[in-house]
Amino acid sequence: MIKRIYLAGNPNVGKSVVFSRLTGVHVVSSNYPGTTVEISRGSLQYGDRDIEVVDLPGTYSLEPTSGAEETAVSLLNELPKEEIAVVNVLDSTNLERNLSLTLQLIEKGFPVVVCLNMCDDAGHRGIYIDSDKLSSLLSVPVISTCAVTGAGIKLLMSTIQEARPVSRPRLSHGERWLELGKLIEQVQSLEHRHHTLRELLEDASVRPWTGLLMAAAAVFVSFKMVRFIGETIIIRITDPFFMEIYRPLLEKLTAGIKEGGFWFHLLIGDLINGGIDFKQSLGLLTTAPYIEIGMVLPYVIAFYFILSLLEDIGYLPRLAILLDNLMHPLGLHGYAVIPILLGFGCNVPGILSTRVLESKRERLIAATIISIGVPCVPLQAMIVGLLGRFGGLYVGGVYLVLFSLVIILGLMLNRLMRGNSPEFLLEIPPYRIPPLYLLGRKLYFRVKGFLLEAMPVVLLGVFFINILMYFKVFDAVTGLFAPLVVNLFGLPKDAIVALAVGFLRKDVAVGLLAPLNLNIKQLFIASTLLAVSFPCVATFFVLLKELGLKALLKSTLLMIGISILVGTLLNFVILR
Amino acid sequence: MPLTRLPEKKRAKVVEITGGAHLRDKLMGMGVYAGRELLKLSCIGLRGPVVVKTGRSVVAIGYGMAGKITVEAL
Repeated sequence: MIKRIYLAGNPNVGKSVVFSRLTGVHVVSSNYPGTTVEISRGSLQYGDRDIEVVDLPGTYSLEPTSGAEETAVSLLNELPKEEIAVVNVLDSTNLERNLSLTLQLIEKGFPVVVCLNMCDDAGHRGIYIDSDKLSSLLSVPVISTCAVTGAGIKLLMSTIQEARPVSRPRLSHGERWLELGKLIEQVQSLEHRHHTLRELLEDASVRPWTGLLMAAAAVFVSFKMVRFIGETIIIRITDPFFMEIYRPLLEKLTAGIKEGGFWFHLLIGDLINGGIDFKQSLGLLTTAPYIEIGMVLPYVIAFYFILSLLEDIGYLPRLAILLDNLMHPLGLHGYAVIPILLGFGCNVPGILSTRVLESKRERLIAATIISIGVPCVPLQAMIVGLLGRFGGLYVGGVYLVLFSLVIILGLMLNRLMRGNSPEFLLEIPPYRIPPLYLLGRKLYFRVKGFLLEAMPVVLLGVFFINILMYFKVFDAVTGLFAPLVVNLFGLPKDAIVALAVGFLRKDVAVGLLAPLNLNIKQLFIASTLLAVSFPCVATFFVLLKELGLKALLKSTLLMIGISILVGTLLNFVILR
Repeated sequence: MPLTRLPEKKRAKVVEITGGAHLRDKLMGMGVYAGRELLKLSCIGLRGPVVVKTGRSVVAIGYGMAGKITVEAL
């Protein structure tokens, strides 16, 4: 009786896509090794009962050499072998290396079904695999699938219960690779293909000069595209909606409420020049939805669209190779580029994905850098929205300050922390053209995740701020911190509320700066401080979970110290 | 010679991997082991990673690690 099905296989063979197909549960997949950092569980209907399905992190070997592999192996051994089935997902375009794990699974006595995934891609590359022959040589069922399109998944489902342990002599590593060589000769035939454009691009992107050129182009185009898509959504969709549909509607609905009263203050906020100003009114129904939907959401969509595209094409590992030697002085290696890039979307998934890094030291450095120096999309959108009208120079200035901080911080942490950084070792996936539906679904789930996480916090935040402001509770607090903020940073007393709200959500905090009539220098300092200082509450908890209390306290102290230093320096030295 | 000194676009056979068993196991899983033939695709300057092709996988190996892989040019 099978109680649990495991999906096991090398990294980046499409386990997560197979998992989504089997269970209907959405999990993020990308074209680089190590996307799955959290174990996903789902269930599969089998006759009249449900069987649990577990998506394991990618592993090359059953003798674990990394944290992810250890997790995979210990999960595999959780239940007795009679109660489980292992679906071993293989990348058909790279059979030999993938089969090494298959042999190990069979040798260890696991009941295995082999799933030859990406068989369409193998065909494109002139690779033909005789799956029947492979099945008879291994004595386990072998099913060809293409999880992205869903081909072969039904057959795979019905075959799972045929998985039986097979006895096979245990081989040493060396013997196993010899055995594999023989196996491959019998089951795989290659048709010689001329180099395709795809392969030429694959090669060019890992060579120093052409690679750097491509990287520069990729970064430039991505940046332009995010701005273009974001602005287009704002100009064509969200702004017309808020100005022409939502505002008149709101004005009609609230016509009966007296201006200046409690409810008016709470829902609409203050009227600016006799009307609702979505950026400055600060009401629960005005500024709160406008910040999230009218200013931030368009850029969230744009950013995740471009990021998902780069992820699924398989470009990110190539960027990691090129940047490897630049990351070493910071105590990181090239692969840290991926968590950092994710951090630009939202710091939370960025910090979670530092799990792909091996040592605790690396993870601490990467997580600290992300939470201090990497601004998330909502924060960036608000900074662009607020500072943009003074010219790109100021927006660029904030990025320059953050970038310098990342470098200084990395250099410092690398010096101060004991231990050295492990080396870079990464398999580089082939380029793949992602199917639109997969891209669309990933975008949908990311955007939905953003809205579900952001909206309640924003609404609650604005709700409490308005109540506290109405009853003038903030005055006591601002009085306490006023000397620091006024004398050191050159900001007005009221900015303290915004800085404090930064702990809840950075985008609302920047929004609170809008009605304060700050000059450009003050706006610049306040935006930078919001980016550098305390992480938002979600990031705070993920840091606690990932690093532990002690490390969190250390990096919090670091953040407070850095904020005070940066604010003072900007005020007295750099911007004078 | 160490893999780092092998010219680009040259084929070679792995002779020995020095360093710990941990490193050997790791590379073994990715298809780099003594006796295996590989093709050096490129290396990124300034002590950047070495990119090799072994079988059908493309693997990027950090500079220090690549220095521990002794190869024999073919």
